[in-house]
Amino acid sequence: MRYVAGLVLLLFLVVSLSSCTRHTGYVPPPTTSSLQERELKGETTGTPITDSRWRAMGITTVEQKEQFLKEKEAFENRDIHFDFDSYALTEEAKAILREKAEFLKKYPIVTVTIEGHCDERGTNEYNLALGERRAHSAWQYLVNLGINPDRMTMISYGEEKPIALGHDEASWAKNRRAHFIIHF
Amino acid sequence: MRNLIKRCANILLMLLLLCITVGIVYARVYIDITNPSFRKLPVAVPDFKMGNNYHPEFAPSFAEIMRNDLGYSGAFDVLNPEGFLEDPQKMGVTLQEINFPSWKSIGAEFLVRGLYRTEGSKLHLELRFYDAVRGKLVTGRAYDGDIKDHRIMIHHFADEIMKALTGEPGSFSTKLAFVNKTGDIQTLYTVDFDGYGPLKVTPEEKMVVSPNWSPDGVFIAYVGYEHERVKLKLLDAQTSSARSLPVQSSVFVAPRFHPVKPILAVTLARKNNPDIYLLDLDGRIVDTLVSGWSIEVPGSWSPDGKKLVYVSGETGEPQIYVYDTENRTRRRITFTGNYNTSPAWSPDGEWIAYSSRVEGYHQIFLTRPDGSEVYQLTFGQHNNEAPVWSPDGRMIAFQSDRGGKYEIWIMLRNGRNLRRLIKLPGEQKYPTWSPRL
Repeated sequence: MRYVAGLVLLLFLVVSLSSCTRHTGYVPPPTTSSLQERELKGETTGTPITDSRWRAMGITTVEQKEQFLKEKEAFENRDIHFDFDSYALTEEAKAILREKAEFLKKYPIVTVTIEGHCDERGTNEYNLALGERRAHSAWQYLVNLGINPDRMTMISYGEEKPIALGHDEASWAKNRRAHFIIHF
Repeated sequence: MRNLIKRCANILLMLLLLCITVGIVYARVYIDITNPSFRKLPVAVPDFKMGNNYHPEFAPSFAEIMRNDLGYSGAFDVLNPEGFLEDPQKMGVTLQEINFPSWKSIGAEFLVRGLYRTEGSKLHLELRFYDAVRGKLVTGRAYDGDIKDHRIMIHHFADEIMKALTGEPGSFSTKLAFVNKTGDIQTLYTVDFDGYGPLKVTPEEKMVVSPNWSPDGVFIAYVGYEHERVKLKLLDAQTSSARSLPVQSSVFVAPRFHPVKPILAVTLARKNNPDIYLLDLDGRIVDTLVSGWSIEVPGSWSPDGKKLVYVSGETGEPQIYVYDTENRTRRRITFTGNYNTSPAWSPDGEWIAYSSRVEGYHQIFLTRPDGSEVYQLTFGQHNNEAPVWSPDGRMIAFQSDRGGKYEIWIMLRNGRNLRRLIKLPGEQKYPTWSPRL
């Protein structure tokens, strides 16, 4: 009898163990893809947009549109700056460009115009060429970060369109810039 | 007998030599105004004489145009008409009628005498240039045309005076073009060399830069910005109609017409960095002229069109180089200063004007095309940039903020006789000088 009882216990253990392994095999581990799923569910509860132009950009709710416009404004308001007579990217400029690349990847339909600008201290024609180099430095860095070059156009305004009108280093530093404009 | 023949031969030889010498003196020039010891020639220009009773107001105004021209030339000291002893309406105009001792007595060595007659819109104008010391007519011209063209006639005679004196006409029958900036708007203007008749010639674009007048006077090339796009354009200087050249680039800088062939040098950014290309007037790329890893921007062609002086940033700072199109060599010519730009080759080929940053301010310099001899022409705590030569090579126009804002100024090639080209609202930059029109 004792022998039979021991056998039943063993059988139970084997069965419960095997069912246990079978059970854990069916449960998917918690991954980031499930997080993404929850996020999409949340958004569909927002106010939907029917305008096909926004929908073509993957923007389906008013909340998404507002988020996009906020990010676009931040993108356009943040210039990168250069040293005098230089078109080399500073570390700060590179960090800003990496943020810009994230934005461009998030909204793959938008295109961007990169403007190169200079301060007033150089001479006009040389500055037109220098402005092109500054726009190109930004363009090249964004291409290296994986942005399609067809989405970006460059233009140089030289020293013709300063944003700061003073004749001091603070103004000059603001004017030695690449400026970005989003089209969508 | 043999002695007599020898003596005769000697006399003949001497006579021949004398003739040749006299001939050379006459064929050469009246004066050499580039000589360092040159003293300005006192000239009297009395009000012009009325040939009939119409338009008495032209008598002083026509004479004033001539006085300004001769004053700008740097060759003349124009005497104040208030000191004249003769009544301009009573005195004559021909050689026999002029009382030369009266003019000599007030210090005049030369005299310009004008006579005009009008009929409706038509003008008859006679102009004579006298050597008052020798009591001789140097040159005279009669003009018939429309009253509205009176400035052209007077400028043309001023050119004749310079030609008679020096062998080379003046630059009085020329215009300048420049970019005027008011607020955010930059438009192209043309104006007579004496500041008369400013005319806006690019109404359509919000921003233009880098104009260059073609050596035949027909076109002005410029760079126009529209809707975040930049284009190289060709303007017909007569009709003010412009067309875009089809060439594509993210930047266009400094189009410069070749002095002989219908082509132009211009900076484009096509592969990676701004290089100098050669385009035909339909915008087709004929050749790559100067390329490098850095910035290259044209300055100007040598008068024979065989060389191009340009700016390169290849040392990390802008310096001036000469490119020889025949053997395809380049040579750096500026070695002092760390910001040398805007080189312009003189019409006689002897000099290159450029701007160099000295103690924070751009100043105009002259150097030889091989980089020897460097002279500073402008001084002071303001900027003097973008020099261009007058067609006779006697004057240099440039942009300067010496008056508190950027304007176009003109000086003689020795830095003297400085004057503001024109007073206009806004700022003026990018001067370019037309040929004689």
